[in-house]
Amino acid sequence: MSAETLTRAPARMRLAMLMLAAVGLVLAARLFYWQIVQWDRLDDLARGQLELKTKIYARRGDIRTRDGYLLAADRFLYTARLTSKVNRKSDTLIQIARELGAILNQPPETILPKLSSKEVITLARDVPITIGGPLQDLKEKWYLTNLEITSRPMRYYPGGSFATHVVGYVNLERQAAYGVEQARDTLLRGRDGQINAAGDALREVIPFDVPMSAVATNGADLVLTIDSGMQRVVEMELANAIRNTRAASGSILVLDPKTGAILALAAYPTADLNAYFDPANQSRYNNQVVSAQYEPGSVFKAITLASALDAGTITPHTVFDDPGQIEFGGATIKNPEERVMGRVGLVDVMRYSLNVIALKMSVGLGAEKFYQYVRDFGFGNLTRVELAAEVAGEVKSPGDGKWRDIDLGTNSFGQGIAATPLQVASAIAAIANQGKLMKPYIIHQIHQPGANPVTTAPQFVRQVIKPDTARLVTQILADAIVAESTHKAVVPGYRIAGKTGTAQISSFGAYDQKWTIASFVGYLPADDPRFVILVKLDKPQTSEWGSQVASPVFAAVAKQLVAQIGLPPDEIRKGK
Amino acid sequence: MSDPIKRTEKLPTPPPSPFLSARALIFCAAVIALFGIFYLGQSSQTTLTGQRTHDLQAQLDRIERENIQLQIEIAELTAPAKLAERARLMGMRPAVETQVHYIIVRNYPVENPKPAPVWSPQPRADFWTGTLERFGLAPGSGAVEASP
Repeated sequence: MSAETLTRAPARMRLAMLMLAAVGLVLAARLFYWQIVQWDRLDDLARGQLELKTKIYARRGDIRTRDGYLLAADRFLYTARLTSKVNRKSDTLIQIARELGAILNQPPETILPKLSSKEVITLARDVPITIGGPLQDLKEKWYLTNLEITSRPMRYYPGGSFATHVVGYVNLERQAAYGVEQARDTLLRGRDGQINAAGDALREVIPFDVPMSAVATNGADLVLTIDSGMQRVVEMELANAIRNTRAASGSILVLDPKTGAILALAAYPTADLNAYFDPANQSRYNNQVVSAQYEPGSVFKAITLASALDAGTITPHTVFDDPGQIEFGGATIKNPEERVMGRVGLVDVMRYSLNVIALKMSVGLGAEKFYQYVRDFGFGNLTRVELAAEVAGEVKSPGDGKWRDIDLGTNSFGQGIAATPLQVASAIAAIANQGKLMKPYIIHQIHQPGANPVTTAPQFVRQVIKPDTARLVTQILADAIVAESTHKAVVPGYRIAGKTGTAQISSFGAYDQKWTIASFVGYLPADDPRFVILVKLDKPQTSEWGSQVASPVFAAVAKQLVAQIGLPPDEIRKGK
Repeated sequence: MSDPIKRTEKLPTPPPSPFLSARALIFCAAVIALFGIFYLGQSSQTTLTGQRTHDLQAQLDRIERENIQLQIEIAELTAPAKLAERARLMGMRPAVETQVHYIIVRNYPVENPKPAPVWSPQPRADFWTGTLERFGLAPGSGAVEASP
């Protein structure tokens, strides 16, 4: 439009054109404002309404026993909420209430007011898929846009308190604590995925052109070396032992000496793994077998004996003179019950658990060799078993600033030295296994999704003592048990080798005068061991002695284990 | 020097044919329509397939979740303590040593007891193999004879 035309136009027309131009300018300005200036904000708002970011939960791997019993699994729990009033005709509302009531096992009369409420109402919280699935169907059937159903995985332990200390738990925040759950968290956890897509009014993914930004990778399933039958036996016998001896705590461990596989592990106190949120249970999940060190006491004499025999400082025929007590390192060391044996052979040294002779053996060996053997047996080092919070124990040695002369004496009978039950059982297993120390392990197989299962191969650590020495030690330990016809660890029909322990409890630099730790570690059959069994009872009240409270538990466990695997008595097995 | 050939006359151009231009328009419209139909067909097919995949995925997820729930229920029902309790209620009890009799067979090859069978996940059989297995017709599904 030229200037001439405008000039010629009537005034009203010019006014109208100017107004239109002004309106156009305003619109253009608003358009500029919303489309350019506010673009980012509006785009975010639009995306927020349309775009749906859905987290795809990776399934945490299952944990099973070696024989297939499910110890831990992820299950999905559903929560259903009504976010606003359901706008339907009254007869439709009644029908919905009826169907909801049938799913939730509630009378429709209680559901109906909830459907008409304007507030957010939770209909069901953390219910299994048996309820969550039908709720989802109902939502789709009636197109209930305001029924919000969310699901999340939760760890569940079907066995409750079965193998508590082996498994550990995963809490609501998906954080693992204790046991295999914590030790192999990265393997079990997997990786969550996410879908970024357009969503509909029901906040469901519109399935056209779904861009999946990250695929979820499920965690690996683990098969443990634990046998559910054996685990049941040790848990039952430990509970009986705690009840009978009124001990404060205790543990039982069963190892396969030839491979180092942990076949059963029980500790007391214990708790249901599904009740981890209860503050009273927090201390009960601690696995004493790997996380609590103790002074093993006379059980350690088997290690001293093996070391002295292997080094050649004594022979199977060595006879010692036992004066009943001895001055060493500025202290007086006495035998248990202040026994004075006079001339005594190795079998009687083990049978009567003579501290004085054990001291003579370690002194004869010399500090350097003695501690070399002790460390070779695995004391003072982590076993690296796949259980959380393992401690290394404590072995003092000359020159470390803590060691004193008297330690060479007291360490020979297992005082002044700290070890975990697993270390003790593992060291005794080395004697049972012809002097070969095996790395203890608890994961038998790892099943990564989409890959072949990986089986753990038994891991040989070192040859600690010669096979002949191991056989000699086994013979001496077995003869010491046979010599005592009333020995409570005896399993009729089977020759067993083992050693009792009654250890004083160190507390604030002194030994507790009242309480002891009573234990027994043994293996059977002595000539071809299948099991190493450690029984440890803390502060038993019926007797302080390992021979009285721990040995019978060993026998009770061993009898059931040989029956479980169908191991015939020695005579039948050897065809005599 | 002048150009020997002088082009002073323009060549005659044929008059535009109204019939041809209409045909071209119709042809173009038809092509566009065809493309449109093709695009819509493909697009709706993709959407349908996407919807079906989505539904199947949701169904699979649900079945997997139900399967996990069932496995958990099985584990709860077969907990060693529960089995022992049920066995006790049925009148069973652990055998004592005097109740176990070993029969010695001379010159019988002695084998060490076998360890408990190790659990491993069963590979999923396809529909055909699964059906054959149910009727005992799949290879290797025949009855196993007891070995001495």
